[in-house]
Amino acid sequence: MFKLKVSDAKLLRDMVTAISILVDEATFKIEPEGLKLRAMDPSRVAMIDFEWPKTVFEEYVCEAPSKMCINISELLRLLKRAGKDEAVELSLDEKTGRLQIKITGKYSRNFNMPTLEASEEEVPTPKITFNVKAKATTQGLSQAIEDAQLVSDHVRIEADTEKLVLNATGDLMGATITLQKGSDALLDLEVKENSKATFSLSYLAEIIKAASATSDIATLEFSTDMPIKIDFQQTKEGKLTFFLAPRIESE
Amino acid sequence: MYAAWTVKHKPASVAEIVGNTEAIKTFSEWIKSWSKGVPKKRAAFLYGPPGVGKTVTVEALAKDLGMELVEKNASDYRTEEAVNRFAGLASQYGSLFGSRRIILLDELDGLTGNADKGGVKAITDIIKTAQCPIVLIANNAYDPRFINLRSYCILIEFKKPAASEVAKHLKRISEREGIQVDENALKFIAQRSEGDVRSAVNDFQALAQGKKRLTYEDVSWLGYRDRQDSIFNLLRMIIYSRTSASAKQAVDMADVDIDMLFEWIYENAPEHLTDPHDLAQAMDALSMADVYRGRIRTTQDWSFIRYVIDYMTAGVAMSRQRSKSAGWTPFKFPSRIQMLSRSKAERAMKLSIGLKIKRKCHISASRASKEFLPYLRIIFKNNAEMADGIAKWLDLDDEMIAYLKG
Repeated sequence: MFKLKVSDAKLLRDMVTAISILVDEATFKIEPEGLKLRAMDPSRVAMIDFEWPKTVFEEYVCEAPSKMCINISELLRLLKRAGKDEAVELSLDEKTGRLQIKITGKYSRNFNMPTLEASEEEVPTPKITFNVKAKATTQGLSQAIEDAQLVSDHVRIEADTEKLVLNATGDLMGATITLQKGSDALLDLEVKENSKATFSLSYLAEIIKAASATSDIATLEFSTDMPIKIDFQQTKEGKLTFFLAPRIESE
Repeated sequence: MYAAWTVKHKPASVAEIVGNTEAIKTFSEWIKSWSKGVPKKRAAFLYGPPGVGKTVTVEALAKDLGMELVEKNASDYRTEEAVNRFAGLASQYGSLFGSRRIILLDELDGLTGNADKGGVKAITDIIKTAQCPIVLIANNAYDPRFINLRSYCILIEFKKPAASEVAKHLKRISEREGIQVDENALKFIAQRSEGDVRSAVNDFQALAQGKKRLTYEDVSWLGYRDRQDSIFNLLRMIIYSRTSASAKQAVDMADVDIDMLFEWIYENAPEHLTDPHDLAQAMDALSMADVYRGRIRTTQDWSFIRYVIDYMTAGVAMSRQRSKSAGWTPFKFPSRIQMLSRSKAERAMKLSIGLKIKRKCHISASRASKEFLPYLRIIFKNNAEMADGIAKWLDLDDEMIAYLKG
């Protein structure tokens, strides 16, 4: 038996949007303590680690741990029909294996959609020692990324004790974006060792754009030529973290 | 508790894969060469008939080497955008877990005709700059659509494993499943599969699951799977086609080797083109196809394959002007292939004697076997003493002497 209810559809929709960037089909782990998802995108370059404790929900019922796989883009299509102050209730019909989506506001509607075969793959946590830890506003970050996107599809992120620098080089143009420590955009910066690594701008942009709907502050952690970890601080409890693999730099 | 044995007993390591030793060796050496930097060819193109272990080889090798495997089927990457989203990123970016990765694009044949919206071209572009090994798999690497793509790949052919090797794999499964199987029952299933290991395992499961013991009687009622049927249909479509387009299309529809198809057409055209003028024209077209086949062999420039196909299909079909229907005439297996396989042992023997002569007389082995052998035969039949001397001088072994004595 699984059932959850949120009073504000927007919260659920934003979360599902963030997930939809990386995966088409998501296998959620339904546990008594809450909802979890850890998945990699098809190219296995990016990973999402998502946890929602039951306290976030108005109502959360889970009698036994189970897994549920759903088509995220289809779910998102349904959730987009819900207005800001409408409540959403998700429940799993165990007999038919279908997910019931009930949206109530000015009027109520019941949708149902099939669940898919849950993936058995257990995605491990990447083991990385991070030398840089930067705390930035999601707004500032998404601006910086948009700047870089004008010239290239990947960006080199460099950090020293004073600043975070985004370096983008395209076929024709280049861009350097500097975030000074203590500025409005870069709240905090801890650097054990100067580091730099290059990442896909399309993923960075999409992730940050989607996550900024649920979060104002992001913590970036990375090391030279290692994956980057971006943790989006949630307004309520919960966890939304992304990992992104670095570009292989050829000489 | 139902699991397909093809999945359940999938080889976990390359060592468990039957057949194709050479191909697997070439492939694993190429993959390993990546640890020393980007090799000349950044992609490998594994091709061969279904069920011979192409995909399994890649999966098992990735497991053996602890590499991360990123795989997709063609149905998932038809458009240029989809290819870039998946393989483009994966080929340029590292792994989250610090391991190296292999990108596998499986079932490339699925990217057919209009459904391929820039997919093949996008794959080609990705290969040019890939930072990790890319593996392509298709039944037919010589599909004209892959002409450009091929030049960026090392081509590795997977052949049908011998029936004895297929039987070995079935034997291993029967041991794991705890089923007692008669030796000749295994052999029968293996032979029936004609080198398709996957279908052999499926057949075996269908017959043996739930049993403790499987005897020859349990399996013998199954007939041979009729694989020749498809080539007969294909020949009929080519020889009796009314338009050149449909004759050409026939080749795309079936999974056949072009060289083999050439032999089939050559063998059967005379029976089905009853008018001598038509036949002369058909033979003319076939000879042109053969000229291009020769050029492919010498230059390895496979772009000529399109002319081979056009001449041998459309060329033959269009020759049919005055021929009356031959009535029902069965298609025959190419006699040249039969002859070649029958004379294989003899040709090998001739060549090895030729090689011995080459060393002493400084002429080519083929010339030696053509010009010297007839005389050696006469000597060996008539003059034992002289033959003995020559045998010693040329360092011939007993088998060769026996052959020359006839």
